[in-house]
Amino acid sequence: MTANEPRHLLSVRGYSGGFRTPSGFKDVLDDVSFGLRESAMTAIVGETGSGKSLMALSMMGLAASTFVKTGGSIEYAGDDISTYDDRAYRRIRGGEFAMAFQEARAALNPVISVGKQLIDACRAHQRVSVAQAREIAEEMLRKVRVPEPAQRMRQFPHEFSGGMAQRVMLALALICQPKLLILDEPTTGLDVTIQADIMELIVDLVSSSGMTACLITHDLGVVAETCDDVVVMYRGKVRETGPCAQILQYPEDHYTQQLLRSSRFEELSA
Amino acid sequence: MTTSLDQAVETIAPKPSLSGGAAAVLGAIRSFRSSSGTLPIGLSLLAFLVLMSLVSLIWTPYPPTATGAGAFSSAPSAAHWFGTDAVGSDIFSRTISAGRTDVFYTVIAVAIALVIGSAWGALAGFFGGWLEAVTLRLLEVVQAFPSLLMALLIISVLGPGTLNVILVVAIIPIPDFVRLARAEVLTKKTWQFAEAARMVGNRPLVVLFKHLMPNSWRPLLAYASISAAWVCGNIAALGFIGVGIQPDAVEWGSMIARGESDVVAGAWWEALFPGLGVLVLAIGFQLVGDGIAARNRGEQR
Repeated sequence: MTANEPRHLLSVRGYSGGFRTPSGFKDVLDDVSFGLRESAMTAIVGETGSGKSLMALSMMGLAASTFVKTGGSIEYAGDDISTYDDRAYRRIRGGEFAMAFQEARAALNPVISVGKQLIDACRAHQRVSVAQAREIAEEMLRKVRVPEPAQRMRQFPHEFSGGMAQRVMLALALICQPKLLILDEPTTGLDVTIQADIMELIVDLVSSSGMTACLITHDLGVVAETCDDVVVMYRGKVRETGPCAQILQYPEDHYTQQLLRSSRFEELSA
Repeated sequence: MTTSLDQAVETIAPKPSLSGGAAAVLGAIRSFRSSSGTLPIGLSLLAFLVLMSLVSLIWTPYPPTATGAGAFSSAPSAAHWFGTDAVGSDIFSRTISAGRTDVFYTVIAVAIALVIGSAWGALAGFFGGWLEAVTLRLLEVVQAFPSLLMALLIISVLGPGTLNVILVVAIIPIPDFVRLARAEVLTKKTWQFAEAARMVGNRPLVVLFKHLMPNSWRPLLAYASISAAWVCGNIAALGFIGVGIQPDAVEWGSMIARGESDVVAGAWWEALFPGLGVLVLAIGFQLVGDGIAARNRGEQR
């Protein structure tokens, strides 16, 4: 792992933290370390409550205000971004890091047209006119394979199906051409056939742009098909990390073995 | 013990017993008020008053401030539709001219309360911390006073006058707008689209006012209309007790005060018509507010 260090776009080292609650401090992340290889797709897998989404939000600097870091660092471009305040983080958010949320329809503003949301996001980071931003937004919707983008831009989120909304969410995340794309369970809650379409789209977009991607999921089948590296998390700790092929074929950790068995992935790959 | 207490209460304050007809009418009014059918009626009442106010700009049967336009305290007639007052001014001319003052000042005062109250409440809800704590304590202190008493207190410090009256009647409903806007933002700031708005790199204030607040304008607008009903009542009340806009302004409250002493002499028209003006304006705003609120509820279902 240390040999690959220079090629890591982002490295999490010994990251720990927890929530302030009325009943006291509650540790959630415990000494989490992993790296995201440049231009690779890394999966963070684990069950509900393993801390994977919180880790993703921490990378974006969007963790809830009751979350307190107790140790470790998140290194990006030679800086520990986990010490940034909101103002400093805004330079990274959107422009360099972007995130696609789990519930795409809840992540789009119900009272603003989809086109306006894309145009605003575009203009938040690039010095372009509204007309230029509109063209970029339309092009982006075409890229995420939304049919009839010009008409769709005038519509509101409630007029989109779950799959279409997730495509718009991806367009929103990608419109500022980020270096790192974090995907927080992008296919959860979608039909199985649409899940496959969306994953295929994500893989296409990531591989064609040379972007670094981090996929948060609990679906090991998806991980096996799409990811290069995998980080297995359980109860706030990293249990195992390494290249996908190795971890899924020869899991060393007991929890990883259990996880693989429970997802019936062994049968499929055997 | 409890039974005897209950009996005692019952003898002192007998339960209001309504006949079947009255209960049915009340029930009908209540269900009508919670339907969005109130919106067109309220809007027509307000439109009527605005129209009359506009008409008074270009035409009134007699100059509203002219004394001796007719006989003193004459009853409604063909020459003076609403009659004349103790100094012979035409009540109809005065009533529609006064509408201009009351409608305009009500709208201005509510707009001030809406903008300041919503912005303040939104900031308190969004940023929390000491701003929210101080705001809430302050509101509790202010709201401990009955609103008209509060108005009199402020007026006695600032002194009467047009600007002061507008400020005072605007200050009174601000706490309600603060609470409402804060509650709206509190329930919506953890929604994912707020997080998504931050994700693309928007400043917190942009997230708040451009992404969150547009989702809250309808409950705020509904409340603004309902509070306008109270504001126009307060303006008239201040006018009635003589600390209103100007002592001699053509304004419904001061017109009622002028005509009040003549009512016992039988000149009911002097106070009735300006009173109806206040009533129609208040009912109009209330119905519009009810209508918007009912429509909001309907769409949430």
